[in-house]
Order: sequence, then structure tokens, then C-alpha cells
Amino acid sequence: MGVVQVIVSGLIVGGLYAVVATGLSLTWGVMNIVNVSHGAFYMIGSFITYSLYMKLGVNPFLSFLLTLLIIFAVGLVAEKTLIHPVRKSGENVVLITFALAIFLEEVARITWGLIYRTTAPYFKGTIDVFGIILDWQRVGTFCIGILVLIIFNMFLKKTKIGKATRMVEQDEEVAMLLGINVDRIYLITFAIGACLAASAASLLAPLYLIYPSMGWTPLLFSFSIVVLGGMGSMKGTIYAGFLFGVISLLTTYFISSGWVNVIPFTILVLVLLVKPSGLFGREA
Amino acid sequence: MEIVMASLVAFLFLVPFLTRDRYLLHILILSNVMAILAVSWNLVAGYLGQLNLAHAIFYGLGAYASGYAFKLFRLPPLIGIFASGVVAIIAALVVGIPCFRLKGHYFAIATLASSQIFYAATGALSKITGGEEGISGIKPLLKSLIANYYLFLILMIATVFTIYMILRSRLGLIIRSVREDELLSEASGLDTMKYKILALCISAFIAGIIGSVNCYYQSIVTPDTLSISLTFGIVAMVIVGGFGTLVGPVIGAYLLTFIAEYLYFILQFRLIIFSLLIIFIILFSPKGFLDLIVRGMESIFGPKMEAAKMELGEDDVSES
Repeated sequence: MGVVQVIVSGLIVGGLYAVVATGLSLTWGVMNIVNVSHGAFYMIGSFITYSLYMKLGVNPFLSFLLTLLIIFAVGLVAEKTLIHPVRKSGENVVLITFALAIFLEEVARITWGLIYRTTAPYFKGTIDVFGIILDWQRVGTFCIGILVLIIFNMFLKKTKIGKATRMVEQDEEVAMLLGINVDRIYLITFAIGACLAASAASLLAPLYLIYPSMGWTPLLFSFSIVVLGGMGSMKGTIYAGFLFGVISLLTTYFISSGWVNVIPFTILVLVLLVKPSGLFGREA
Repeated sequence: MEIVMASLVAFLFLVPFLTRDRYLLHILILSNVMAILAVSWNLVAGYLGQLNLAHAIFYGLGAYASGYAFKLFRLPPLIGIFASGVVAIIAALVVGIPCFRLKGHYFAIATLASSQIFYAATGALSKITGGEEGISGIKPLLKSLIANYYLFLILMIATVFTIYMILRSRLGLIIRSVREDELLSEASGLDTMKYKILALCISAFIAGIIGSVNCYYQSIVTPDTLSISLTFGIVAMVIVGGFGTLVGPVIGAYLLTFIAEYLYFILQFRLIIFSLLIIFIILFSPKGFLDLIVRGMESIFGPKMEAAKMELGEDDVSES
């Protein structure tokens, strides 16, 4: 396993980290809330894909889309019932999303149990790129992940709702004055954020173990990535995502997988001490 | 109000004379442990206004420190307990100094991240920490259950009293002023960072101490002392009991501990019930159960309860 191979694998998985982190960056940037349940949506996305693909035999592509649909619906309900009423108080949002995260984790535990699960690969075979051997599963997943990011980016830039969302992120009051229904934007934003997490989860299902408490690591990583990349910068989040992917895999292969969780925090601390606005961010 | 509280405390002192039920005594000990954790957490959460989601870490590290002190170094318990306090303070510094640079809800998730790191570290370093099984065979401080019962009861009362004295002191005033308006406090010349860290260290120290004492009582230390579900339990107890009040966390702790332990047939639904409780309280009665009771009694007895609110340590300027 040469260094180059590990780096390339890191970039591939980093692309998906970027997708998850973008979801958190969205809710954080637009709604100005910290969504502690972001990881839980990721986890539920994994389980739904697992059940659809492995238990019901639905083909992977359809499982992916259905997962997104279900998570979108759950996200809408969650925003409407839990976030919207307490939006004014940042602390209450943290607490209520924390409670939601625990709730979802318990639901998963009761429904699917504590056994580590995984799914069968979506793509088979390997490809040789300049002497580096990559399996199609990773490459295919990466491509779809990038596609998701591209589609999301186009959504933000080209559609009316997307532009309204960016407006709300810039200045909520001005957006309201312009007649934008901010409540509706928040509703959709939260659901899309959850979907981004779930889409990455769904794509990564064959590659990682699925279990109820798996959500905290993606949450932690996303948070670190968003802080590292800089608040309000989608570009920054994506670069930071790739960086994290590479660093995680380098850690896993050359040190040990046990330390993989320690690295993000160390980086986070260093960033906070040196440049709290992140690599690409605006001043908070 | 004071009479009510005094009689409740007196009642708690009498319990061992009223019953021989060992299980009940054990549950009450557990309730006191959780109450101490809840009250210490509330110093930073309710009164300073910062959600520290790493509180279990201070407790767990305290427990492990004593575990090592006993097993590895054969130190007497008093030194073990002191060491736990020191370890907890160090942890508070390590976590607090970077995290307090973030404000409000960002601070919360930063502490959450820190807690996950420590938790992962116990797994990664399983050769030292004993992994899933932790450290076992620690000799208890006191042999008899009843002696332990009084120990923990006294510790709980001492903790509440300590927090009460802190709140009445200049430190308490500063802590609350930081919560109300940090910018203004800084403009008045206060080094808010120093006081935030101080509050966290006190909170952590208490958690570390009780982690240590509990370690001697249980004779075993396991990684779940650092887990997120313990932090969540503490948060639930404070929210349900009454955020930002002195006695609320104690009530919440007792309530939820009893629910968790006695409804053992639905033990597996424990966390779901807690999370739904939190959601319910936040949506409908953000100041907690205690507030619900007080408001209920107010509607029956009228505004006499104003004095009671002051006794309970509630600030009338606080809003959730």
C-alpha cells in the first residue's frame, strides 16, 4: 500500500466527507444553528439504505433515491416540529437536536439492533489508474458524490429557492424585506442538509460498518471540516473535506485506526488557536 | 419553602432507618451521584450559560485516575480522590481553553467533539485503560452500604451548598453577568475568559471528585463513565428538573434515576423516554419540571411563590 495509493483513496473518501460537511455547513450558515442531529441523519440514512438494498432487494440506485426521499421527509417534520419553535434560542436548538440525535440512535438500536452491518458493493471490479489499483466501488461512489455536490451547487446558483437560500444566508432581515418566506427556506434547508448527510451515508454503506452510534464520528468530522474550511465558504468546506479524507486514511494506514478520531480535534484546536475563521472563511 | 426543603433533607437522612431495602439505598446513592453531576454541570450550563457537553469526561477521568491510583500505584484513597480532582481540572483546561474561544452553541459542539476524542482514546489506548472492561477490583472506601449511603448524601448536600456559596460570591455575580451579556462584562474590564475557565474548572473538579468516590463504591471503572449517553443523562436531568436553578438539577436527577432504575422492564426504552422528555420540556416548559410545579402551585396559591423562587436559586432575570 504505497503512500500515493493511500492519498488517492483519501481523496476519494474525502469527497464524501465534503458532502456530509456541506450539509452541516448549510444548516449552520443559513439557519445559524448547530444541528447536533446531523450525524444521526447520516446514520439513519445508512440503515434505510441497508434495509432497502439488503433486506428488500431494491436495486442500489433506487435505494439511494428512496433513502433521500425518506430522509427529506423526516427532515421536514423535524424542522417543523422541533427546530422552528425554538429557533430563537441557540442553546435550545442544540439541546433539542441533541435529544433528537439520541432519539434516532435509540430508534435505530431498537429497530436494527447493535450488530455491525454492511451492505454488498454497488460496483464490482477494479481499475488500474497509472499503477494505482482502485476498486470501482470507491471510484463510482466518489463520482456520484461529486455529482451530488455539483447538483447542489447548481441548485444554489440557478434555482429560485437556491438563490433565496443564499440571500437568507447573507442577511436574513433583508431577505424578509424582499418578500422571501424565510420560514419555508429554513424548512427546506434543514431537510436538504439532512439529505446531503444521508446521500453520503448511502453511498458509503458498502465501505463502512453500520451501527446505531456511527453518527457521532461524521458529526465530529463535519464540524471540524466546516471550521477548518471556514464558515460560509462552500469551496473551503470541500477542500477541507478532501484534506480530512487524506489525513484520516494516512493515519489509519500508518499509525492505527484507533487514533483516527483524535486527529480532527487536534487540527480543530490548532485552527481555533491560530485562525478561528478557518482557511477560507470570512471573519465570523 | 425552606421548611419543605429541610424536611426533605431530613427525610433522606432517615431513610436507612425506615427501610432495609438494599436496592432502594443503592438507587438513592446513584441519584445522589447524578445529582452532584447535574448540579456541577448546571454551574456552567445554567448560570454561566454555556452548554458543556464534555462533562462526563471530567467524571470519567476522575474515576479512571482513582482506578489507576489504587491499582497501579497503590495509593491510599484520599490521595486518589485528590488526584482525580487534579486530573479533572487539567482536563477542564485542555478542553476549556480552545473551546471557550467559540461562543454559545458552537461551544457546545466543540465540547461534544472533545468528549468523543477522549472516549475514542480510551478505546485506542485499551492496553492501558483496560478497554471495554476497564479497571476492576478497586477496594471500597467504606464497607457498609449504609455508610456509603450517608457519604453520598452528605457529598450531595455539600455540593449544593458549595454551588450556593459560589453563586452568592463575587465569582457567582461575574458568572451570571457573563451569561447575561459577555460583551458588556468584558467592556467593564473583566477578563471573561479567565472566569469562564474558572467556572469550568470548579464544575469539572466536582465531577472528578464524585467520579473518584463512585469508583471506590462500585469497585470498577468502565469506559461508559465517559460516554455521550451519560452526558445526555445529565443534560436531561437538569433540563427536566430546572435549568439555572439550584435545586432543579437535584430533583431532575432523582426523578430520572428512579424512572430509569425502577421501570427496568422498559429499560431498553430509557433513553428514548429521556430524549422525548427533553423535547417535551424544551418545547413546552423550557425552565423545567421545577418551573412547571412552581407555576402550578402559583396558580393555586398565588404570588407567595415569589419568595420560593428566590430560595430555589432562580434568577428573575433569567429566561431560557
